[in-house]
Amino acid sequence: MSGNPPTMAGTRSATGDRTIFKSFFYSFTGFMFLFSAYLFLSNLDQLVVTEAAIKTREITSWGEDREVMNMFAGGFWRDAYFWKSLNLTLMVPVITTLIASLVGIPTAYALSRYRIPGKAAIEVLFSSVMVIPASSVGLCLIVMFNYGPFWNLQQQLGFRFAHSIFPGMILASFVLSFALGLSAWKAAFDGVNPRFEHVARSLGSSRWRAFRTVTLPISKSGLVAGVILAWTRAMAEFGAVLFFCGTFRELPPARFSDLEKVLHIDQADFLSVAIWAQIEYGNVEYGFALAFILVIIGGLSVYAMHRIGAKGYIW
Amino acid sequence: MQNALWQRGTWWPALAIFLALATITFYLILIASNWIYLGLGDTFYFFTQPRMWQRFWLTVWTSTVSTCFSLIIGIPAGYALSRFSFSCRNVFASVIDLPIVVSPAVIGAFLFGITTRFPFDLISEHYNIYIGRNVYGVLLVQFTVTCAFCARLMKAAFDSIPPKFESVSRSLGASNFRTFFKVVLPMAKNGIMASMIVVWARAAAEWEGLMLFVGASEGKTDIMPFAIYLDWNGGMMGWVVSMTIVCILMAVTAMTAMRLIGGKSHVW
Amino acid sequence: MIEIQALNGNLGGFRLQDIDLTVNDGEYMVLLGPTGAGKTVLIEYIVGMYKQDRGAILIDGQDVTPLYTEERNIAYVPQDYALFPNLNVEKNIAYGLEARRLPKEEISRITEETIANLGIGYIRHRMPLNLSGGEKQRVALGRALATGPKVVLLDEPLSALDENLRAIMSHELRALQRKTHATFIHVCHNFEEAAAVADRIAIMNEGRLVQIDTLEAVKANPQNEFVARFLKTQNVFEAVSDGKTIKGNGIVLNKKNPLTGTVIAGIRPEHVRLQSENRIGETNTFAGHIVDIVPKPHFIEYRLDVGMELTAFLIGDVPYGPGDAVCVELPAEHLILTGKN
Repeated sequence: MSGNPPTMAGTRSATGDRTIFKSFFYSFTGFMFLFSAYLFLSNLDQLVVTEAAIKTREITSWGEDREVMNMFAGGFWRDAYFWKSLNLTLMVPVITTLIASLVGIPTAYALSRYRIPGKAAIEVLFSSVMVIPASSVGLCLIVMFNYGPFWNLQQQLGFRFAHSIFPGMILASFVLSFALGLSAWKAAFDGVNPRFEHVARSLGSSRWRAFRTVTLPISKSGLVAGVILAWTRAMAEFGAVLFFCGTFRELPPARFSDLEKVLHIDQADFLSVAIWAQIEYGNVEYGFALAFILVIIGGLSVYAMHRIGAKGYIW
Repeated sequence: MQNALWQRGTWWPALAIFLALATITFYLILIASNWIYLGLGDTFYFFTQPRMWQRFWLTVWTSTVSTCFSLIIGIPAGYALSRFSFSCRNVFASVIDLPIVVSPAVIGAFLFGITTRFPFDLISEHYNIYIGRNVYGVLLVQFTVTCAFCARLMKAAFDSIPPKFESVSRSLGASNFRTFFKVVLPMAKNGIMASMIVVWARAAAEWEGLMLFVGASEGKTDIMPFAIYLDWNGGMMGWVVSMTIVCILMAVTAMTAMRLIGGKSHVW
Repeated sequence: MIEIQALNGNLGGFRLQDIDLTVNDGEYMVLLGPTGAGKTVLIEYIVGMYKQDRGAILIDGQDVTPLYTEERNIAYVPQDYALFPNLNVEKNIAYGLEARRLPKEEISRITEETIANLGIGYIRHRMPLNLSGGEKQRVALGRALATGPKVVLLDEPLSALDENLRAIMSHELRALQRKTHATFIHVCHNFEEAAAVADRIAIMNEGRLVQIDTLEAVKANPQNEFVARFLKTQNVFEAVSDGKTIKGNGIVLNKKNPLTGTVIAGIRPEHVRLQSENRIGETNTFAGHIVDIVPKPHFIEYRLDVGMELTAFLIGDVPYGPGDAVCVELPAEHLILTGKN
């Protein structure tokens, strides 16, 4: 007898189905969470110097160097190099982000509002910068400034772009952080109805006033998200900086300007480059200590991004 | 004239368009300087070398394989992040996103540390698959970076579909799985395809993570972005520049393909 | 006074063609037309969003086409009102005054006045997101009128409101226009809405102006079939006229008219008369029967068959039922005739 109403059976199976369904999808998210957490947390013991490492260093290092290296986390806080690098890593991305925002927000506005010929090509250009390998970006910069069109220019100006902190490192971290920030800023402006500006202008505002008093406040959270995005990206830059600037630790003090010395960023590297250099050098604990600092900074900024609920797209 | 510029407030659009054109020019020169340096004849020479194509195909197949793995994990994970709400969601999402915000060089260091540990030591013991300085290491690096990226993009792709379609489908008696496969996936198809291409391009661009973790062995792990670094250290400028051109072409092709599919791929 | 002279514009797929329109000072002009007729686009040309191909827009004799939007001294209320979501009601209203850099006291005085005029004092500190449709509309109007513009452009100002509110607001719009003596141009697609406010009506279709005239004139003399149908004349049919009689659809109507050949004839449903006694044979009176009766709020709609389908609106109770034979009169004075396009 098929007296059972089919809806009843359907309802019952649907609730059971919901649990399975949810747990199925959660399992993938959970896997990613666990993988990521395990990846970062399980390496905490790298900070502690093991017997084997001490023995190896008895062969490879000498004197006081060895003493410090055998401390917890390579005794990184006792090293002037660390503090200078931290200084540099906090300073350069801020300057980069500032320049990127000042240039990028008007650019994003122009790309979002005005009819510019070949917009599709422009969008492909900026989005492909985001997926060009960092080594290529670094190489492009090197070729552009040292082998190509800008060589004569920098000879005349009398300073070098490559292998320098001030134009060089900022330029290297600028390329990718600008492209990423631009995507977020453009998304923010695309989300604002141009009608607001038309109305503001019909009420007598100039274009700049209409932008400042209407579009800017409305798109504020998106713009802030773009700034954080650009900053995070500048902070995480490794490839382009390594290629374009190399490492500064071993360079003689004469190579650095007085300004760099006053700011305590001479003979210092970008933290990500420093991690690489230290681990290659055999100072694994030191390198991981720096890595954890970067992880904490990155985690905080990505948490801020999630709180703001930002948007940005690859066109 | 200048007076008119200030008085009529045209300076703002003029500035915005000027900056846009300036940055576009900068990026164009950045990309084009390789061709200017290398010249057409040399480009052709390097493009006909088997060493180039061997590296190219290595890049293509490794990034394709790691993209597949990323998609398998990333699509359901992105759906869960998009649809289900759970406590401390921002914290969980931040941890999941860590591999893409932290410098990839750091990821390499951490992967270097992790492969001697629990699941990996068992795998290398029992199955004789050693994950480290070989192509498996390359795949692991690419997977680690792109999986989080993929989940991000997929979350955005699913976010763009209003949940009401799922409610309607379920109200008509379809099960949750049926709704997902018959309604959500087809609707998200374009976004997923676009994101897939971006993920693939990102995987093919991965280099920094390999630096500390995998190292180089010619013909085995030298995928193109890494090979650029190797040959740069070897001083082979022609190879370096021509491979950079190939990388740029790959990226531009991928992005053009994404545009042609018509989906939009959200980063956040 | 706004004069639009031979305005031609091309917006990739949509064209405005030879728009000639003069709106006098203090006149309430309604741009009427179906969706996609180009009314909104015309408004946007006056606002200054696009550059025209040919023609000119003159406000008080001055050609404004080389001017930017902000220099034209117009007030524009778009369809979704576009209240600035980052400013509260008071700030929204003061926005145009601040843009003009008026002194502070002046700004607050005019803002107060506007708020009092529109009776929106109770929401003055709220953000636009938390307002109802009618409140939003008042704020948008207040923002537009606070600067004392000569020209007010309203793009479908009433279509986001519900029916009751629409009636109230259309009265208010009319009153505001009388009070401010500004020139209003109001876009809508609804004939009733236009009838409630307009001094004159400009009917648009497919990027062209079809007819400009007062409501009564347009109703009595539609320019062509499109206008006739758009104004809900209904009962429109094709016929042949010889100057005295109009033949078509199996009936013969007597009316002297200047047209000959194929014409479009029509009569508004409220002018169709039903006669109880048998007067068949009299001028313009025909035998028919009732097909259906549809009660409406203010009248009763009759579907009639007199050889062709007719609709009639009658007020009050008429003792007929479906199927009853009736006598239908189409009075010659209400008969609308127009050439076939």
